[in-house]
Amino acid sequence: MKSGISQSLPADQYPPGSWQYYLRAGQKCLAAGRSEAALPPLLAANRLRPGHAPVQQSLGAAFLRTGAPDLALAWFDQLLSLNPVDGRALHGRGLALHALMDRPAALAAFRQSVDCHPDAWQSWGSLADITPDEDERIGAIQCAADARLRLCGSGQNRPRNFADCAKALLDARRGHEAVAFIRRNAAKFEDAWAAHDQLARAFYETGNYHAALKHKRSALSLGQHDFSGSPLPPPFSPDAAARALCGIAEILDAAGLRYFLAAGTLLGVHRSGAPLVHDRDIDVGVLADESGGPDLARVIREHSGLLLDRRARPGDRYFALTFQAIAVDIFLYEPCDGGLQCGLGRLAGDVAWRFTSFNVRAADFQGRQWPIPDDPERYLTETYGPRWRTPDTGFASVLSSPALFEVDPYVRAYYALSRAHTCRLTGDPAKARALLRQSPVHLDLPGQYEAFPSTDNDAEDA
Amino acid sequence: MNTQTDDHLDDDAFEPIELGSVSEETRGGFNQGAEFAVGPNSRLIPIG
Repeated sequence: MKSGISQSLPADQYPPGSWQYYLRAGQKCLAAGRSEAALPPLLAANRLRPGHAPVQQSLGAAFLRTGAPDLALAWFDQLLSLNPVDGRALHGRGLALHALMDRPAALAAFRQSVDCHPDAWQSWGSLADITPDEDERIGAIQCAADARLRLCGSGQNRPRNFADCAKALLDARRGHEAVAFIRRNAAKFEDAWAAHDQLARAFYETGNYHAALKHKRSALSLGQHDFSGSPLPPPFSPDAAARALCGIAEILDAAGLRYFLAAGTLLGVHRSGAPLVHDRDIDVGVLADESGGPDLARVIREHSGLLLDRRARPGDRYFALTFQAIAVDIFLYEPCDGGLQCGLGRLAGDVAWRFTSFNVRAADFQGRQWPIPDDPERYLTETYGPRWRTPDTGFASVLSSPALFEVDPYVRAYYALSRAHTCRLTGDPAKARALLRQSPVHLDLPGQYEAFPSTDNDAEDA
Repeated sequence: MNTQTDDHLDDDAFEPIELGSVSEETRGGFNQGAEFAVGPNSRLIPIG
């Protein structure tokens, strides 16, 4: 597949009423995320110029994004009837089939796409997203990264591709390669902010937390950047969270896991029987068994309603999911020196919490039995401190929990800075300041500009 | 004027929309992980 850079003219430079005018207008709507508005002009273009591949492909994309995968599939199949190796149509067919919940057929379409087009990183990524087979998933993640590297080396790409390539390398857990790639290509990124931000993540992944913090500070000094074009999460709804929690519970029950309500979710249901109004997500703990299991990655990967993050691997102890549009964090609690330990990563110094060992018991919340730690108030005290009943909106357990265990101060500072920046962007400067005060390393949200360090021999590499 | 020839020239100008991967197209990525979390472990008293 090509890069997708359209060289066409703006719609208003084509004669009004021409098929080109309607096609350009429809594509403009699609690019702006207005898929519903794209349909009338695209259908008009198709009436004026039937059988035109870009019109048909755009219609397939528009129907897919407006929740009509059956119609999308018909357009992609029509394209394939004319060209059975049309890469975009094969990929679109896979997406439509997945939306129709036919995972085997979707996988077949994506496999055919990458067989015909080895650089089709979207199809490699899709294979990684939905295959139940870990070997195929890992292979697809690596191939997606390799395809991204080839794209960046082709000379025919957009600056955005470099940040995406760096992310693909991190997905492939090629952190050191990502560091080298970003440094080598920093000037080709969209801007210095993007290069610094990706470099911060790459250094974090390699365990160089000091360098990660340095580049995070540099990134944030370069302006009010948002979430890299990602959509902001919808407002948190306790009712929706409660429904999602029921759905997740069914999945964990079916997998035979010993799970429990954890952290902020436990705090909410323990006090009022419902998730916290001001929460962001659902927190679930899973007790590890004596053999190190369960394989949470497998449970998530094999469930057709869940998507396993590409960076996740078997053996991880933290999994961030989205289920029914609600963020869900699942932590594996493992026996350690007579207690229980959970955390975000497995590198020394990454965020980890250690608790007094506990078992799980059932508790009734709003007419339903939920598993919770057998001494929930001790657990909450260890998580939040003895004043856990007192509101403190600036508190963050990743920064100040009494249960934090052997966490590198630069890791805590990195999270303080990242989250403070998020708070500032979302209009909560008071919480941003509260988070910065919890950093063990002096921090300020920087406002000055600074140049990108181009040297390959910084002390941070040590 | 040969409009068909003009159309073929324009074919090259209209490169199709590029669709993302399953995770990108299904918008399944709201949970950006711990780095961006600002609420989940806050010590809050629930309202209501």
